[in-house]
Amino acid sequence: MEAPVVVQARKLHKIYDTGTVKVHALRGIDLDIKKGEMVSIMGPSGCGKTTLLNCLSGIDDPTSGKIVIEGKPLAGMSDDQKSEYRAKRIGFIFQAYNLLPVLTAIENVELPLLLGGVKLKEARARALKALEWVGLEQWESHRPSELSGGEQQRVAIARSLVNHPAIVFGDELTGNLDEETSSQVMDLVCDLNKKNNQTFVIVSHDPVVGERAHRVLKLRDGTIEREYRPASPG
Amino acid sequence: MDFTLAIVVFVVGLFVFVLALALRNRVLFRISARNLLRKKTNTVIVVAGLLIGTAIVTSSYVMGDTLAYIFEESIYDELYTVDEIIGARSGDAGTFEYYPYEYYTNLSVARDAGQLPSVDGLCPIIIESVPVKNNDTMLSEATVNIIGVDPQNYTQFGDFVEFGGGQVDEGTILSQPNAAIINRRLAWKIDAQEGHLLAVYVDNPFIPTAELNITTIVSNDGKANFFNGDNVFISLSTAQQLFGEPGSINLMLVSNVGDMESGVEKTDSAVAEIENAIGTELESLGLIIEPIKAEELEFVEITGELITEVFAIMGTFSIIAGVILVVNIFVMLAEERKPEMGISRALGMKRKHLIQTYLFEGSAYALMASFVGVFVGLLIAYVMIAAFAYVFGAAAFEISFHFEIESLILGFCIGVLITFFTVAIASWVVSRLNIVRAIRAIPEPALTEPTKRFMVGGILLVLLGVIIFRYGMVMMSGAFFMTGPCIILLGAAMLATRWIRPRISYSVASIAILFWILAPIEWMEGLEIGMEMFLLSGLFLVLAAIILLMVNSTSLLKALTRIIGGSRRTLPVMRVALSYPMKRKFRTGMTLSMFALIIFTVTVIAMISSFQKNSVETAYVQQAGGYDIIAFSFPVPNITDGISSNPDLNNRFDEVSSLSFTSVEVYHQGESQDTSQQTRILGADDSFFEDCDFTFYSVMSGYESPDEVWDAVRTNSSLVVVDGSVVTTAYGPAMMFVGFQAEVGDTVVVQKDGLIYNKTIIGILDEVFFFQGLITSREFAINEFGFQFPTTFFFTASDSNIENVRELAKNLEKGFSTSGMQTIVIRDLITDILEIMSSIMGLFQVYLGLGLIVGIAGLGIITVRSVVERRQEIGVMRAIGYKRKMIRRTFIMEITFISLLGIFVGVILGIALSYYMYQDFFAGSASLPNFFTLIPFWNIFLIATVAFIATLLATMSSAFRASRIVPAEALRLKE
Repeated sequence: MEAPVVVQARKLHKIYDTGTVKVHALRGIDLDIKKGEMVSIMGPSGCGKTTLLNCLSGIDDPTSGKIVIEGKPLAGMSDDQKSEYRAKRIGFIFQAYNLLPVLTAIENVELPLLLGGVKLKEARARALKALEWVGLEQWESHRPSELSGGEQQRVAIARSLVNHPAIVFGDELTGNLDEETSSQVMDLVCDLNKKNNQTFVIVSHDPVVGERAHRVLKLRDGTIEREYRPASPG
Repeated sequence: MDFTLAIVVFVVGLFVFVLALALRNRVLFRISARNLLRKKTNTVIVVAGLLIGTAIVTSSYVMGDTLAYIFEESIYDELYTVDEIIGARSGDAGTFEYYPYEYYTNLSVARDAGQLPSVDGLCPIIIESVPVKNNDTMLSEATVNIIGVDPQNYTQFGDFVEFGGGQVDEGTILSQPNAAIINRRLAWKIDAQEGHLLAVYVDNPFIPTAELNITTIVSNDGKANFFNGDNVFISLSTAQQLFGEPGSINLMLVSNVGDMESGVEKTDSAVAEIENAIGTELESLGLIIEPIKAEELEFVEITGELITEVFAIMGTFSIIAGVILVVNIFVMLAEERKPEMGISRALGMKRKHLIQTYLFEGSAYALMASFVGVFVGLLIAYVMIAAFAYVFGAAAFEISFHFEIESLILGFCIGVLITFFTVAIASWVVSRLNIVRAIRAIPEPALTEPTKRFMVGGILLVLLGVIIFRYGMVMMSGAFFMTGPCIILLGAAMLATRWIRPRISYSVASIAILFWILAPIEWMEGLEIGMEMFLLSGLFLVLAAIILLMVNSTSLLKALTRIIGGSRRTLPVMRVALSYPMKRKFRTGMTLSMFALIIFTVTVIAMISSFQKNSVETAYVQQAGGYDIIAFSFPVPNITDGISSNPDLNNRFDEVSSLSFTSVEVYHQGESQDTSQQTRILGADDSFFEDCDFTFYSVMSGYESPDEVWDAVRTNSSLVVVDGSVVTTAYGPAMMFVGFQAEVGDTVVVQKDGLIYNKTIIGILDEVFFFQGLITSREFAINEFGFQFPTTFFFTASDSNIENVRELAKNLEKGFSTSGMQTIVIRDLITDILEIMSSIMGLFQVYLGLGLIVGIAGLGIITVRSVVERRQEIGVMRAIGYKRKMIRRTFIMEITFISLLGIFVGVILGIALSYYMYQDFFAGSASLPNFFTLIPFWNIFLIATVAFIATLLATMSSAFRASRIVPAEALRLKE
């Protein structure tokens, strides 16, 4: 049976209006992403990759067009509903890791669970489990400043997956890492994708990420220029 | 060199140096100038934070100026053109010994011979205070100055002005027999008009000695207001006749060349010229040339300085809060500019260049802030003076705003220096950075073990503390004695981190400091303690408490999470809200200190105010000695006869006691006679010894009860009891006005007219208002110092109902009007005094409240900066599911946490310190009131609530702004 579509975008436009200049970041994007699929969005700087990711994840609103996630149109949700939806169904991994500097590794990881209303004790246990997935259980009480870049990114991955989100959005998740660490992080992501059948949408410059994805969308000037499947994904 | 000139020269020198640096390093100066102009809101915020210091200093000076000016004016009103007086004060206050008129003749001869070039007026007079009665209206006045003058000479001291206008020819008027000129004040009191007859009672309170014709009523201006009295001017010959002193005078008035104000400048030369002319003659009779105006002006100047000091010390809390705010702002600015600083350093800029960049910027801030601060200070002083005028609305003197330009210059310069050095130190601190970490905006790692420099710092602190402590012991200085161990403990804690965990060492040190400051006051016995103790106690208590909280922040966070983190809905908000302040220890510590310090001072003042309100009964027991009324009068030979013959008074008193007094010089045995101070020997009658219930502040060992003390004093002439004015109390301003000080067991030398006696103090009373002297028995006082009639009386009413007591007081005044009896209902007096003191405390609270504005504004500023600083983190939080209202709540909870913790620390420490005052206030009372019932919970709750709500209001807009941040934009910010 064919996997259901979890992310659907139709005629997506995004225009940034600075008052003096109008920048057309997305120009009528149409796409479908299926459950368990790992999609890489690639393209040169300024082509609209991050804008597309932000719109798909609901942290930014498109100027026009329609986005449906897990059958729910984002446009019909209030800001609070979108936040709640993100807390429960979406995970995020950022290029700059973006862990909260004042919280320890485990506190950062358990945050999405607490947002989802999970009890502290249970959240702590699940967060520890998530840190185990990324091999950082022994660093649980360290703060981000005490971890290396790769370790921080693994904590960020643990945070994005701890509440078993349906979709994980990653923005240049290997952008700040060296080749070896990038490869390790991608191994981890692919492994989790396979194991949990979670959907990954990853924006990246990195060809390694593209090679590991099931499908690559090449963006240029706000439109999908090309779409292809790499030879040996995962 | 004059202090003002010195500080102006220093400030100018400093800025010339900064300018020279700027000219040498123009690029750095350009960077500073652009930083200054880059974010105008930032500049305004920094200037607002920095101007507090200048405003407080300026307002302290201006308040001192105004009050000194008011007192100065009252001296000019009182003395007008009189600069010196020549005479000998007698044992009874305010009276002078008689001496031959020839002394004046000799001095006037010297003047006519040109030997007194600094003197332009000389007048022989007789001045006596007596009761008078207007025979036409039958109204009497107890204490009226009868001044006998030589009219021709008295005109040299200015003119009388008739009430309603017009010149008065005093020579012609006073040449008429028994003619009297009275001033308007007296005329108003006895409803006198020209032509009325004035009965004067000199010897016998029941039979008038003479009747004077009120010929002219003059306005109270100028010389008519002499000694601020109710004055009757008669001719010298009439006065000599009236007082039975033909050919004598008891005072010579001297006016120096110059007017009312400038004449005082000639005081030294005038005194020297008079001494050269007739010094030997004056000395032979014990006559003294008193530079009365110069002395009173000097006293006023000292009073002005004291007032400035009181407000400056009070204001120091606000200044310190302002300094903390500035350091906080600078640290935040530096955090924001850290990547730029890192890049600058990477490009070759040295650390000193970074410091210079901040210094140029800071100098500009300092100049702007001090300039504005001077005007804000003027405004604060104006408001405070207006409040004083309101409190003392019924007082006899007029309160008018006045300031010296010198005070504004001083305020500006001191403000500039406070600001400049705060900025300089903050610049030095923020310029210490690791280039790579700065460029990548990575936080500085925590030190794993103390550096050598840190250890040296610890050793230096310990040494400094030992020196300060030792100095305090040698100099008997309470401030140094208290400060030394605190510094030693801090240094020792730094050193101990080499071997034990910092959390343990700092916790132990801060707990020890808290105990040391709150140690029993007896530990400080014998040390000199003043207002500065309040300041130091507050600073060290707050410092210790904040260190204790910050080093234990992790445990505190866990405990708080457990206590208030039960709700699943609030947990994500609380987790972040509490983590930020608890993990940014320096910033939170500074902010908490700022808040706690101010709340601490306001709480202490609220506590004192409450003690005052609640100590009426205790004060009554301490001060009244079981009596209801105290009366002062001219000598009354037999008070009981007077009472029994008066139907309004007879059988209405349970007890009547009396005291006589004479002025003496006193100094401690073994000390130089030069240290002697004026006090009084009070001779009490047997009734006083039997009936009085005055409580004792302290009693010499060996005496078991007050009765034993009084018995010993009654039967042994070498033993005395003194009143409580000889004792200083900690933390209170009262001590600044104390003269003679003593303790039980001290032996003092009492001397008068060549007679010398040694007296041992066996008891010190709590009472401070009525005695002011050494109490012995009447019999001993007469034997040793000559005969005296009683002039002070204590009465206990049979019916102690306050209305009855008030009526009796009036009846006493009526019955003994010709003895000039003035009565005081003791309970009313104490209530009035405590009410005024309470109002003054209220004003201090308002003044200290300025610091609260600093604290609140500080939190507001810090929150604005926090939102900017955490923009990206807010974006992440929004991305992972925080709703807008959750972001808002995170900030509100963080602000709530910091402000409530600051309030809590300040309130607890304030209450703890005020426990001393509690012991002082209620010492000697029959039953010590429960301390907790005296805590003004409502007042403190109100202060805390106002502070808290104001803080929320000041920070709310930032919290809303944070919640409106669009996550996608926030996340894009750094990428």
